[in-house]
Amino acid sequence: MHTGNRPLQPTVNVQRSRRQLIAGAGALILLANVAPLRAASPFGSPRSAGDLLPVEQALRVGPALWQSGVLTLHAEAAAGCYLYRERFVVERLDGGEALQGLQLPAGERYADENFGDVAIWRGAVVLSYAAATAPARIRVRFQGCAEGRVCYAPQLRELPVQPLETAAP
Amino acid sequence: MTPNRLRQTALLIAGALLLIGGALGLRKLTAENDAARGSLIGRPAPEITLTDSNGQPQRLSQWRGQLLLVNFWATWCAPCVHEIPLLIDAQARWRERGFQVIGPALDDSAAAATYASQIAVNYPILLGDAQVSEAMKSLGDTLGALPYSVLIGRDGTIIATQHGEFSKEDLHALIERHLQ
Repeated sequence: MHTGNRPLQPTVNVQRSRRQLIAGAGALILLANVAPLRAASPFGSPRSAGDLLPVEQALRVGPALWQSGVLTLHAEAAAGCYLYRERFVVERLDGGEALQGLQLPAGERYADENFGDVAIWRGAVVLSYAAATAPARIRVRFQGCAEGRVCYAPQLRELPVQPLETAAP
Repeated sequence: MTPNRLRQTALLIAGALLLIGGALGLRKLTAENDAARGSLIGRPAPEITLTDSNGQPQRLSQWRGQLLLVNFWATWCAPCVHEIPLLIDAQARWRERGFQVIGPALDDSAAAATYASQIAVNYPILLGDAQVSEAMKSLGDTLGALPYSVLIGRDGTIIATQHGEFSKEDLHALIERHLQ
């Protein structure tokens, strides 16, 4: 039995060496990749753009629809973001009568470091305005933040309004 | 060591070297893709001219030779306002060693100047809503979000960019590292 075990010894050593070499190669590959990346992140913790959305994706408005004297506008703040209710302004661009807010969601009360006690909207909201005639285009001003991270510059968008057929009585 | 074992070892070493080479090549490609996507890291900072609170034009290149932190901010941006005391402290702490902060405000000029005066900001505040917006873009902002900071080395090369506030620890470590 003893002699029978002897030939196994070099095989075990070779396997161990192979494992050590593979582990060493793995460590070198890891070092080659991780070390330069760490050096390229001098701000320390990776808090930069990675998981933050550009404003176009973080805060969205549209579409705008008109039907039977009511303009409906959809808006949405991506997860982790919010829109300021008081800073959401809609104007028509064709010189028609000013839009009157019919139904603006109350939103969530929020103690803002800058603006004090304000209302914010998270997720998707639908806003309704009174407009006797369908505006061709509207201008929307809005502002919002990614909570505790960044605030987006005030936005200005112009949107076409799609008139919908009024259902026959 | 037997010839067989020698051959196996040589093969393993060759394999490992090939893997390392492949990984390095992949990393280079990734870096090139980052550059292609518009990263400004490692590139010379573009020349930018903005107006200070006295109405005087100030060129970015005048701070060449210093470690320069360009911090874009606004009075309507809570994280920006929260971060400013940290930058005031950093400016006072490392100014003598060649560290400089500048604060272009993406804001109404009067509002930004008044706020900066009220809290005794000890570094130049640069103004001009539209010009500051353009400056942000040319210094690599792709989000339209504040605060946005760009660290520029003494040689005028962009070292790093960051959206969002600094922690005190990160900022101090960063400055110390690049002032050496």
